[in-house]
Amino acid sequence: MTPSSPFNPAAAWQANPAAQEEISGKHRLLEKSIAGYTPGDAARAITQALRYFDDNARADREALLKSGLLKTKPEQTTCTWIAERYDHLARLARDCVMRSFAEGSQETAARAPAAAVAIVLSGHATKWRKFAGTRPDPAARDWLNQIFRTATVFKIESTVMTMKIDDKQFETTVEALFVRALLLDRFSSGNLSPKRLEILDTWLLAWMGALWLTREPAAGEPTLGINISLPQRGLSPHQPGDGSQLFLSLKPLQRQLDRTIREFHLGGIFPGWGIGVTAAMEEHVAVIEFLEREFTLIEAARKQRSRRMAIAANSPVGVFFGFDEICKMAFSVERMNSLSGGGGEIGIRNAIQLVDISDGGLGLDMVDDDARRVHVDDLVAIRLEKGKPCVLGVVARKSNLQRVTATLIGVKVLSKVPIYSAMDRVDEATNSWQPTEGILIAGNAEDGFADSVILSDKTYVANSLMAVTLDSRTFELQLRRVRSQGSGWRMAAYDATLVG
Amino acid sequence: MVQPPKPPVRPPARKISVWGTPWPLDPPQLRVRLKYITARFLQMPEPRISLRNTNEILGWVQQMCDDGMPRAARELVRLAIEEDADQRSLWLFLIGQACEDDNAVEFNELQQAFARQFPGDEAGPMIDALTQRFARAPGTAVPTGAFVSPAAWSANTLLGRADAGQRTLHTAITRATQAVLGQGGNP
Repeated sequence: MTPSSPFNPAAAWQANPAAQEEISGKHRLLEKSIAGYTPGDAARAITQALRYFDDNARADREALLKSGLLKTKPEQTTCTWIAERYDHLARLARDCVMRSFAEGSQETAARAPAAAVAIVLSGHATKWRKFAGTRPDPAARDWLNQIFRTATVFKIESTVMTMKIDDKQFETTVEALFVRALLLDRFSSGNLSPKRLEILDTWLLAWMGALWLTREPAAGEPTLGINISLPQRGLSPHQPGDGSQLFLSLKPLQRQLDRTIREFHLGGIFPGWGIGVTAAMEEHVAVIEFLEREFTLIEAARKQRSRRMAIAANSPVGVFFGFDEICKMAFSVERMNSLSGGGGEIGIRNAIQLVDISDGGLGLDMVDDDARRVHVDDLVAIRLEKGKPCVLGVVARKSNLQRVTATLIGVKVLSKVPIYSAMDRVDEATNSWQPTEGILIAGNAEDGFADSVILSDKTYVANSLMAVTLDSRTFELQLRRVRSQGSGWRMAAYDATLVG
Repeated sequence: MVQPPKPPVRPPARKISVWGTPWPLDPPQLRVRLKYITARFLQMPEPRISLRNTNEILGWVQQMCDDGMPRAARELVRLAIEEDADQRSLWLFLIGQACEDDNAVEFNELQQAFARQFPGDEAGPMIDALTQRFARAPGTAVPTGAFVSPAAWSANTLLGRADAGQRTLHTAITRATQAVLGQGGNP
């Protein structure tokens, strides 16, 4: 038998089913006995169980997060087990919260700690469900809102208390923990890898002092809003009249991000503890870039309110896949009044529905079997309504929907009005102009330097010269850097000169 | 006559950057800083040299602004100024950006630091005039006219990049877009 190498990281960690079963057993025992506890004792018992679990499963959690990928069966099983443990403790904590706030309960001092531990566990469970790849708990957000609503009614949401999370002591409040759970809920639906989401959670814990809500939106500032009576929505960019009751201004978060960046400039790894200390610098930078993109999207959502599309959710849409199919079919006048899409060549067989839509993106509901044929970074064009041109986008993520046979395809919108154009390109082999086709995308900058052209990767040549005629004028385009790319397509910046 | 030995040269205990923040001097901290800059700005395999190349920085900064990453662009310019504070064009670009963003706090900080770094500079009177842009009640509109950041401080102009063709094509694309919208396109 070959001994496992100490230098092989995969061999360094091994699941310990016996230890896992012992912890699960303790949790089951706690569940049986907790009904006989007073709410205060129950909250303390759950806190102790959480600490015991954190301490004893730390090696498992760190090994899984460091490896980043769940390749083996034991890794997947352990990850799912951790998510289940947090879920189980969260359920016990919710019951404890309800009992501590129940009419006639004498233990008023137990209310804030009970609510705090329930919200912390809710955040942990959200995060680990994402790591394990299990579907989000449909009731979790409702519970979270309900706990915070109750805490607000009893005026304990701002009570300062000390909490130990992941071996660190924090001065915190129910409100700050609620905001952390909401932000984790929002960010875990994106495309952050487990390690990056864990780094982000460490930052959120270190930013705890800035995580507070207001009852009024900050005037003229980008703000996230939450309607605590409407759990389907979660924390989302606030628009006037959207029914939000609580608001989280973006400015304090941006200041915290600036503070984090400053720490890196000074040669420190923020916040100096947690899994981030040993993570590669690229992981930290990816989290910074993720947050900057999020902030930009939230700011853009505020500015683009007037341009929101009033399209009914769950309506059928026509979708075309890949650069060639899009050029051939999506811009065709004959197809304008039809919602029949393409995808036949890659094997798409079923109708596709719209799940939701915002200014920056949209979600498509696809049958699992069809969704398997679609990949992240694929170029897609979507006709949302008959008689209207297609929206051009790129597949940004794929995730499970609540229905078992459906997959959510998240699409980042590149342009709502892409302009298809015949073009010419210089063929270097023959030193002649050859016809080709491309899609022009207008950027936000008035000077035109944010505009792009999308080309097939069969015709794209770095720094090559192209020509396009638009508005009766001919322009020469010198292709510059690639802004975005995927299978079969490139989106490049260019420098344009007017010919003649 | 025997000269007394010279005292050993000691590295300064603490160095303060042009922004008034401490500069990491310990080798491990300096290593983390450089690793961060390299990871954040992939164009720079050797950041301490690249950060002193004003034209290269302006080019990257303009690309970042074009690609919708103004925060990263500002961070890069600040790092470059920290590395070599004599890069005057970068100061002007940053001041112009603060005006465009209507960020009074940043403008104030930049104005004071610029005056310290370049006393009597020819851009001084223009910068002083720009302060009036911020001398208004909160929530009121930006005064128009004389108090606009000079176009000469944009990265394109500082780089000498011609933009007439680019603007004309952008206008043509926008017109084509509006024509599609007129036919019932996506709002």
